[in-house]
Amino acid sequence: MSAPVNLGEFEQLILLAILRRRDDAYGVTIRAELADRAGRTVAPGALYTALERLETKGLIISRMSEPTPQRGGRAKRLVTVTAAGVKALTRSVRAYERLLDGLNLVRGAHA
Amino acid sequence: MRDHAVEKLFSLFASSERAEALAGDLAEEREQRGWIWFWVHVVRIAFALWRNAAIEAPLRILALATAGCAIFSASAFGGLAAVFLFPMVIDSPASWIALSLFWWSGALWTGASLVAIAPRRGMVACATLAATAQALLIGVGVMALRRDLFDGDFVLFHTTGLLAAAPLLAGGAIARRRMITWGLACVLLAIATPAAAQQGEWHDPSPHKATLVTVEDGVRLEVLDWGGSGPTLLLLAGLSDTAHVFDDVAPVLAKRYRVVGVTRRGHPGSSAPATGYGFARLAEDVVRVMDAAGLKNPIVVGHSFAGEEMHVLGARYSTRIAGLVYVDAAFDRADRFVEHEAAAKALPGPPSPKPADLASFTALRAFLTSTQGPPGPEGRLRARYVGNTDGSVRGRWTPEPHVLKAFSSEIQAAYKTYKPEPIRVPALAIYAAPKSADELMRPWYKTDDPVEIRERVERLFPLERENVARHAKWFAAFAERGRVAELSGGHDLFVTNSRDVLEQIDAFVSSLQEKP
Repeated sequence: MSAPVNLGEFEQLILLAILRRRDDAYGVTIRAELADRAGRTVAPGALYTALERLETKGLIISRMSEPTPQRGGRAKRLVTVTAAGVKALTRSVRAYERLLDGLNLVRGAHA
Repeated sequence: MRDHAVEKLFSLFASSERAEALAGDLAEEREQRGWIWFWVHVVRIAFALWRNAAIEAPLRILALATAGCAIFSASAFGGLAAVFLFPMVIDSPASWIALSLFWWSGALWTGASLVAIAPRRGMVACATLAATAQALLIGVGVMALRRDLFDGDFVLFHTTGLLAAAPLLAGGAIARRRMITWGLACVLLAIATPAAAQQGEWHDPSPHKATLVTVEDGVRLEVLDWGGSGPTLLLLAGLSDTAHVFDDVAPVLAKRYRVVGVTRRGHPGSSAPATGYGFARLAEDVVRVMDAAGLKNPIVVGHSFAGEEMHVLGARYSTRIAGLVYVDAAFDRADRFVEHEAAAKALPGPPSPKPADLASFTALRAFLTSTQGPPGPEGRLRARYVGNTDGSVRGRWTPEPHVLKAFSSEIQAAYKTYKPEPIRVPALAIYAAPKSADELMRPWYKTDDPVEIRERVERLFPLERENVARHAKWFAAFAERGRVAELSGGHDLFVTNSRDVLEQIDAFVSSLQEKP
């Protein structure tokens, strides 16, 4: 196995959003999830670029859905996080946890 | 339908599945966010797709874009070559339309070729090439705007170039979507238009380097440099002429002299400020050009009105110039020879061109040649007459009204009490002087009553001789180191008798070298 993949913050957020939407993660829903949960407004083009990069790194995999009537019959590009993606995400989250340990950042000691 | 077009647009830069999903995402959100949001993101996604594809293989894209550039240039130069093979059709009214069509079909062809060479990345290369060309053209446009070069012809040429991006992308798109019929039409157009583009734009063939020299804040003069080595000749044109009047003689002179010509302020090619038309200021303009071009001790050769500038140069800047050659340019402007003027007025003036004669510069040249004799270099004709963008001729060039007003009030004031400071440098005044009454018979007289006309010409001839003698006498008193010569021919001696004029210049220059 090659060297572990390091994730940027934006990539982490996208992977988490995809995981939350499970079987229904595609452009529109991922951006909605990022807006609702993380307060991040992401342009469709920017998300597309990030998804391409994640797929090239093998962290997500995408497949086309059946054609859907509400978008003029256009299929969706559904994305799923791969095992490698989950592993990279876990690594990042662990690193965060270790760094956060003892800082009490969330409860406001350093706010 | 619109979504379909958007999907097709995306599919130019990405796989059809990606294009379908992206177009679908945008369509899905449109109901909620509206049309403006939709179209903004159509553009942004298209841009992101192009950028991603270009970043993925930058060298490949660069190589393809360069290839496209070469294909486009090759077709452009092919068209120009075709134009030079058929110079007689250059001034057709359809010339600029043909030129545009040629550019655009070349662009179309280039786009299609790039996609044919590289089906996957060709379109990205097209967009890269189009974007680069647009950036360059906009840069050139801004520069031209700053340097006052932004005239009608430039705008047309520039717009044609800017619009060429559309057929470039269209050519790529057609090939990419494998639209055989369209592709075939595009090929036919590309083959057919060079033939139409045989009527391209006219290019000044005279071998000069044209620059703009700043002589005063915001005033730039057109300076033509024909190069050459030897003594320096600085050529000054007459009123309503530009330095292009010398387009034909200058290359001959450049075989033994360094030759530079100047277009006076207020004339085509140079700035037309509201002020600065006094003779002293006009002469200072010439000195500024000498400074800027590094001309040391030039012999100033001037035609007609340039005599006024030369007087000032010979009096106030006598250390800076080697000599003056007045080509039908040294006149006692205060001398009113009434009988001569009356006799000259009794003869008909040259006929005016009819609409058909103004259909093109070629037609105008033919008209002038048959009525008045050859009008001289094409660059001169195109400065004295104003052309339309369709290749036809609008009419005689006239200065802008504010220039005309300032210029004529300066001239009238100076001619009223004409007392130029005496010149102190060696000078030669060449006069156009008929040697017989026959020389005064103009080609257009033939249509009138021949006997009556002949009588009037016979009456004018001795007066014409006397007129020249009066001015020559005045000059002899005015220029202590001056010499006078007479040549047959009309006022435009450079055009009618260029060989004689050149001989006189040679003789004058060698006389300067004998007496250091």
